[in-house]
Amino acid sequence: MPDEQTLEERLRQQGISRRGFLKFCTAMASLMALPPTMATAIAESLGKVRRPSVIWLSFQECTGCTESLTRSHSPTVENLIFDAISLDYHHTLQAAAGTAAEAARETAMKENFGKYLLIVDGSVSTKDNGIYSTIAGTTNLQMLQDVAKGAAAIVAVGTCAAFGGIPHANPNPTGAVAVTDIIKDKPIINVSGCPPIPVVITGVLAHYLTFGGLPELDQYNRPLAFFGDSIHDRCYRRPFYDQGKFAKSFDDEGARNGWCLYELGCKGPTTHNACATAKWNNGVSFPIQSGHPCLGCSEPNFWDAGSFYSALSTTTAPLGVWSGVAIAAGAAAGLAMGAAARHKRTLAKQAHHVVTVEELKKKEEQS
Amino acid sequence: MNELLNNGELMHAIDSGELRPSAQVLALLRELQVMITTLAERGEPNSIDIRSLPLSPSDYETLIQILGNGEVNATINALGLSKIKETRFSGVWWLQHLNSHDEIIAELIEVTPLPDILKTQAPDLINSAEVLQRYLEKLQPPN
Amino acid sequence: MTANEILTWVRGPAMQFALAIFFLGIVIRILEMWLLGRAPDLAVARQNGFVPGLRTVFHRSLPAPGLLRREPLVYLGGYAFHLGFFITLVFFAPHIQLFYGVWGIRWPGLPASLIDFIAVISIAALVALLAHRLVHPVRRYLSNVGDYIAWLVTFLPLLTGYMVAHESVLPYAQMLTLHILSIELLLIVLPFTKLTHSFTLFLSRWYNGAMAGRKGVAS
Repeated sequence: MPDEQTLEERLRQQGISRRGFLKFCTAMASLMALPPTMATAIAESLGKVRRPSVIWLSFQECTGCTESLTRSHSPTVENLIFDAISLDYHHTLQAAAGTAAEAARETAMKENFGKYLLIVDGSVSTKDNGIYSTIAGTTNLQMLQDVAKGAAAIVAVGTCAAFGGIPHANPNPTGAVAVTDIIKDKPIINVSGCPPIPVVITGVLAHYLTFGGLPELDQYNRPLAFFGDSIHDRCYRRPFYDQGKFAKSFDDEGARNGWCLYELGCKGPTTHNACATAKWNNGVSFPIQSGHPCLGCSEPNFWDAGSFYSALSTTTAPLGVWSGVAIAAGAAAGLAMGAAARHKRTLAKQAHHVVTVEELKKKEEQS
Repeated sequence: MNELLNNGELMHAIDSGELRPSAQVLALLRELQVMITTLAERGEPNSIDIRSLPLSPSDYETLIQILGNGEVNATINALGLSKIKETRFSGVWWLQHLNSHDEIIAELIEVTPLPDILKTQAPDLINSAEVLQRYLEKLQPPN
Repeated sequence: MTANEILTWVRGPAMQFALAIFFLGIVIRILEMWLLGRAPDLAVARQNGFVPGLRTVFHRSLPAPGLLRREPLVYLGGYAFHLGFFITLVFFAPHIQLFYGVWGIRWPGLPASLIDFIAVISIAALVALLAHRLVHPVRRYLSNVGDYIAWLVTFLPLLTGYMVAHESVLPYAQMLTLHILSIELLLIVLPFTKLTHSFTLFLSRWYNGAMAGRKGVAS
C-alpha cells in the first residue's frame, strides 16, 4: 500500500547516501535515454515521489515479459524501482493466491481509485465474450474494463498487450486484441517487444515516477526515447549494409566477418526498439550481435509479416500460381483475339471488290 | 580496465597499424575533442552515455585503449562500487557505476575538471554533521 | 493498418495481383501480334534470315550516321537511363535476393555505392529527357498522355528506390512500401502502354532484319 514517506526519506532510512541515490539516478537517466546531465534533476524530482500503487494484470501471455523484468541483471536498479512503487497485485509474483489475491486487488483499487498505475501483459480474448481466458472466474475482458476504470494510466507491457502479439496471429482463434482496442479513455503506453527489454520497462516506470506523466510517444503509443530509432539506424553492423557487404548464410565468410544480416531476413530496418543500444543480459549482446537477424518482435503483427528468414526486399506470398493462371488466361484471351483478328481479315478479303477501269470511267462520266 | 597501453605503446600501436579505430570511434574522439575545447574555453562540462552509442565490442576495446589511464583513479562505495578514473587526456573521465552484484548499471565519459559524483553531496554533509554531533555527545559525556 | 502491415500486403497480395496483370497483358499482346500472321513470301529466299536478323538487332543499337551529333541528349540520355535501369534492377543486392526468392538462382551484386551512382545518373537522364520533351516544340507536339504515363511509371521506381536506400523523407518501411507499389504500378501499366517495347523491341528489329536478309538486302 502507498505510504506518505518520500522515496528519498525511505532511502535515507535504509542508510543509502545522497551520492548513492545520485548514482542510481545516473543509471535512471541512462535507462530513460536522457542525457547524463539530467541525473541531478531526476534526483530532485524522484526523491520527492510518494509510492504509487501498481496493479499488474497478466492475460493471454507466456510470462516471458515478467521473466524479462524479474530476471534483468541490474538488481539494484529494479529493486529501487520496486521500492519506489507498491506492487499490490501481480498474480504470478505475489505470495497470496486465490481469493486473498483477488481481495488485495479489490482493496488496492478501492483505496487508490483514480491514482493507481495499471500494468498489463498479454492480449485480451474477446471472442465469445472472452471465455477463452479467465482469472478467478472473471474473463480478462471484464477484469481489464473494471480495473482500467480507476487507473491513472496504463502501461501495456509486451507485444501481446500492446498489439495482440502471438495470440492475435492468424487465425487468431480466441479473438485476441490489444489493450488499446478495448480501453479508449485512458492514457496508454505501449512497451512492445517479445519480450520487451527489461530496462525499457523500468525506464518507462522511472519516467512515470520522475515526471508524473507519460513520456513522448510515437504513433503506436510507444515511448520515443526507446522506440524512436530503428534497429537498423543504431546497428553496429550498419556500415556493412552501406558498403553492400552481406552474410549469405549463417556460416559463410560474411557471417564470420560479422557482415550485415539483411539478406538473411533481418527486419532491423522496419523495427523500432532499443536492442542495438540497451542490449540484453545487462548489455552483453542482442540478436544481431549474436549473428541472428532481427525478427521485428516489437512491431504490430510481426508474426504474420512473412518468413523471418527472407529479406525485406522479397515477396511475402508465392507468385507462381497466380502468375501461371494469368499466363494461361492471357494465352486463351490472346488466342481468341488473334482468331478474331484473322476472321476479320478474312471477311475484309471477301468483301474486297475488284474495281475495273470501265467502272471508274463510268463513275467519272456520271459526276 | 586492465593492461592499458602507455603513451609510447599507443603511438607504436597506431603507427604499426595494429590499432585501427572504426568510423564510430573516430567520430566519438572528435566529439571529445570539441568537448575538451568547450570546457577549456567556456568552462562548460559535458558527458556522453556510452550505452547510448552503437559501439561494437571491438569499438569499445579500442576506445578504452586510446583513452587509457591518467593521473587519477577513484572508487566510490555506495549502492555497489563506482570506478572512476581520469584518462590520459586531462579533463576526460571514465565512469563505471556497478551494482552490488558488480554488474555495470551505467557507463559514462565525462569531460569536466571533477565529476560531480566525487564531490560530497549537500544532504550527506548535513547528515554528516548530525552523525558527528551524536558521536561527540557520546565522547563528551555531560559532567 | 500499420506501416509494416501495409508493407506485408504490398510484398504479398498486391505483388501477386500486379504480376498476374502483367503476365496476362503481355501474353495477350504478344500472341495477338504473332497470330495476326504475315502474308506468305513466295519468292525464293536469297539466304536464311536468322543471322541477318541478329545483325540488325546489333546494328540498330548503334547510332545512325549523324544521329549522335544531331540529338546527343536523347541518344546518350536514353542509353544512360536504359542501362542504368537494367543494372540497378539486376545487380542491386536486395533485388538479387528477390529473384533468388522467386527462382532460386542468384548472382554476384555490385557495391551499393556504385549502384547508387548509377541510379543518380539514370534519374538525371530521365529528368533531362522529360525536360527536352517539354521544351522542344516538335517533341511536345508529338507527345501524348501515354508518353508521360510511361515516363512517370519508369521514373517512380528509380526515385523511390534511391530514397529507400537513403531513408530520405519517410522511414524505411513506408519508403519501401512506396517503392514496391511503384514497381507494381509499372508492372500493371507496362503491357498496355508503349513500355511493351521491352518485349517487342528486339523481336521487331530481328524481324525487319530477317525479312531484309531473305531478300538479300542489307538492313
